[in-house]
Amino acid sequence: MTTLDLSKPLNLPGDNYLTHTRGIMSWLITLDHKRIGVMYMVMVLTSFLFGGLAALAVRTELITPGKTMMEQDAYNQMFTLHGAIMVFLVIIPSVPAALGNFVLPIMLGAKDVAFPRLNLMSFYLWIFGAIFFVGSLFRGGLDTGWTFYTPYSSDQDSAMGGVVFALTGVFILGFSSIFTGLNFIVTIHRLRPPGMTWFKMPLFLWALYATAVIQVLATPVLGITVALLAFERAFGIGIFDPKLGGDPVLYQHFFWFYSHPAVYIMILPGMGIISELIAVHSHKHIFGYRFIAFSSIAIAMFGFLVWGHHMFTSGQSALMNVMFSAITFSVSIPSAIKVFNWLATMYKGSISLNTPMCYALSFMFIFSIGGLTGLHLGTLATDIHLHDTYFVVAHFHYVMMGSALIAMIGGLHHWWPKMTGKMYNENLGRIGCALVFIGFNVTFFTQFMLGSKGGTRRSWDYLPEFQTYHVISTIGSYILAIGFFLTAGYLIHSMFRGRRAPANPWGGRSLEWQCTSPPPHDNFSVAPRVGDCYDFRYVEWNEAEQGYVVRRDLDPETNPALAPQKGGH
Amino acid sequence: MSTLPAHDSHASHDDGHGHGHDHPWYLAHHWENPKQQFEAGKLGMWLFLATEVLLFGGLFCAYAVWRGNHPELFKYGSQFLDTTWGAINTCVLILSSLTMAWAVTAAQQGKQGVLKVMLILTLLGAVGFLAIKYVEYSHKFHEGFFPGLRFYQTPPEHSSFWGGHHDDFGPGVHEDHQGEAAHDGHDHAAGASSEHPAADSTHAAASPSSRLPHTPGANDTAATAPVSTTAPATGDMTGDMTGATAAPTVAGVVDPNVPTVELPQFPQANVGPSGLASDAELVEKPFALGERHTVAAAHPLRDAEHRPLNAHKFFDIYFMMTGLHGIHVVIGMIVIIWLLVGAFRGKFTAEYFTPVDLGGLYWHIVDLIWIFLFPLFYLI
Repeated sequence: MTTLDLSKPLNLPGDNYLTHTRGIMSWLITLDHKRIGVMYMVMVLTSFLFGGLAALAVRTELITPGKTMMEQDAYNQMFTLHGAIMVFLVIIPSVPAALGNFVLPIMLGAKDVAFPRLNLMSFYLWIFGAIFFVGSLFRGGLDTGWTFYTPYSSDQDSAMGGVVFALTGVFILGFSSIFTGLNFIVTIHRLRPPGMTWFKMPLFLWALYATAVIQVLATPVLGITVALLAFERAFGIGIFDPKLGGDPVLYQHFFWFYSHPAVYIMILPGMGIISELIAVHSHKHIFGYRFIAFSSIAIAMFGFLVWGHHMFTSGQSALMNVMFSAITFSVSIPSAIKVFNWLATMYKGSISLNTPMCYALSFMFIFSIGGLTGLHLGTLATDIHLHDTYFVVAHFHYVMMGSALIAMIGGLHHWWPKMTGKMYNENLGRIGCALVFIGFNVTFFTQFMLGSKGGTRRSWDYLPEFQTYHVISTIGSYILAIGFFLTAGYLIHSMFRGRRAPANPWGGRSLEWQCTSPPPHDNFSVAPRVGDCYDFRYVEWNEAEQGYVVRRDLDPETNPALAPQKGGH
Repeated sequence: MSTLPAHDSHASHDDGHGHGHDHPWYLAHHWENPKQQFEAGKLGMWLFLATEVLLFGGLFCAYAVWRGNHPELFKYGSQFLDTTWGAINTCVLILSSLTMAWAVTAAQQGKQGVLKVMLILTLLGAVGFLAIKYVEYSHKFHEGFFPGLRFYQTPPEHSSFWGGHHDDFGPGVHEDHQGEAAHDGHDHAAGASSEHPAADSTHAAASPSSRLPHTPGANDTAATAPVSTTAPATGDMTGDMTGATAAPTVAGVVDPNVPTVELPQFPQANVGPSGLASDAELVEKPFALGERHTVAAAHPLRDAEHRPLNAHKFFDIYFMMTGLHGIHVVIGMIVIIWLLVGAFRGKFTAEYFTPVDLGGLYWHIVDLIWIFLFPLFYLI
């Protein structure tokens, strides 16, 4: 690592969004999308810590059959807590609300999102929702699983007291998510600067747009579903509870109508991040831009039509099973388009194995496995065998944790210099990524084997012959935890001791790399120049800057002197 | 909540940094010009309305499923709604929509006086709607038409939604019911419930009878069924919801596990498909055109203890949908009051009327939802 003369700043520091105003209140009531994004990020990562600790508790309990460290009830609460926190408080807001809030307007070349106050309000809605969630612990806890399936959640005897509290939390978090999505759609429609056409937008913005559409269209249904469930529990209205003449499968339809699209709320922005990381760190134009862009939209649309594949064993009609299965398979087409295009982008690229790129490569490996094992579950015959086994657990962890969250962490590393203005230690970053990758696969690949042999999920006790798998899986989860703690350590260290970040540390061409690190309060004092954000031909490493610069003087499009002289001119 | 897109679209967003002084006061710093800001606000509002439609869409879906499963409950329940009040309310809301549209036009033309008058008229319409809704709701509560299982309890004198049996709300409905039944002196029912809840639940899960067509023939043989059917009135919810619909079982073989209990005070309450009384007089009469209300008023099933099983479901969905709509009316009133304050301060001009426009859009969707609710509950 080159030593730098820190007394002479590389880019004029002057005023940036971190130093623009001071004091705790200037953060709490800020309307700046960047600060709101950072606040989201802090809260999401805090929730991630708690959700992760719950996961470690679950894994530790499962080292031996029967009781290892907690009783059945505590175990049920622990896996519910893990799932609910990770889904509602971590993965769903992680990329759109945290990273997206920070990056979207800058990438777009806008000064802010369309409705800054709404943006701040969705952050506080998130806080209130999270408080209700945590509050459910003190109201007797929650042991229904994150899906709140009836009759577990509606039955007064078996479900615990925290259900209505947690449902209120989900309702509020839903509104937070809706408002974020609404804000992003309007921002992308109305705040594109001149020259930023739809097909010049970075692919991350396409992904965020598709995500926002799902957030706006699916989340209200979740809101009404949890409201119905809360009424069922409070008044006994008899819609979901079979004891009162209700239909529990109806609840599953309602729930998955939101929650399957929600899976794409989690993964789509992750895919958008990967599109950026692969292109920037391969220093090569993205392959198949339009295909990747439209595949995001296609996934968002398909996402609404496949919810029934969660109910193959719930007594749905055979015809519906077949149709949902067929549509589920079609989702693999746009997903595969993305993976192949990323591979084609890397082909003959000049790949820098920076930490973000290491995460992107992990993503591609893990997502491929996660996607392909989805086909086993989408196939009716095999799903009967695999339903409610660890195979399902492994599959959705490969997609939600191994893909969505790893993409988020990759994106965090990619934009970390932009957010904090500091560089982290690259070697530690790579080691952290390797630990996460290895730990993840040890934990969850084992669970594919465990599940296909019949190990049932959510069980506190299991047959002794499954113990080897559980022990390996638990060891993997510890490796994973070490990787994450190492990552947290060097990232926090970099904030205080890190090297000052150049404006463009990776050689990106999208607009956020055109402003300083960290960006000024207004992002752009003059409307930025919009070019092809994947054209890396004229990007060069500059030793003095310790970063990349765009050589506009070499580009015929920006330097008229270099424009080819045509005959008859 | 709903007003936020409107708020933000015109928020003059002073965050301590200067921007050009050629900007009008209502233009936030990140917009190029008022037109861009207006169009963004409009798009945001339309998207918000889309989420509102989907929010209600979930309830409309629940309505459709319930009605498809239990058409007779909706036939039965809707006769207790007062079509006259509903129709008046529909007119009130449509009129207020008219005045709101008028207000928007006045704002666009810069006619301050008309704007204020029309906003006040719209607000009056909203108040009138809620007042009528209050009359309707309190009447329902007085009659004991509560959401949920409380429906089957005889309302105490002057009962209101929050008055009376507080114990019945919240978790522990079943336990409270049983305990209460014992206190009420219906010892037989309480005894029955404590002996066979599990058995009855099994029936319920297995019995498809709730979807069976009306079979009058079964009624006479189902001598034991009415007993368990009417029992919910006295307390055994758990067993009854399911036992009630178990008519086919009872018609043929009497399950030895289910103790039959004599309830001499309800001799005639025969059971139909979903627990509805099948007495021709009770079923046919209320559906005769033109005499719905008179018949309903004298309906023997008005008595809480004679109410057919599952009939509460109609009132559940009724209270949920009209209640959610009522909340939206209240939010709309807050928006209108806020617009009125702005109008009296002279904020809105022919150049800047975004909040009025967006508030108008919101008010129209509130009206539109009622236009669907009225026929679904009162007319069909």
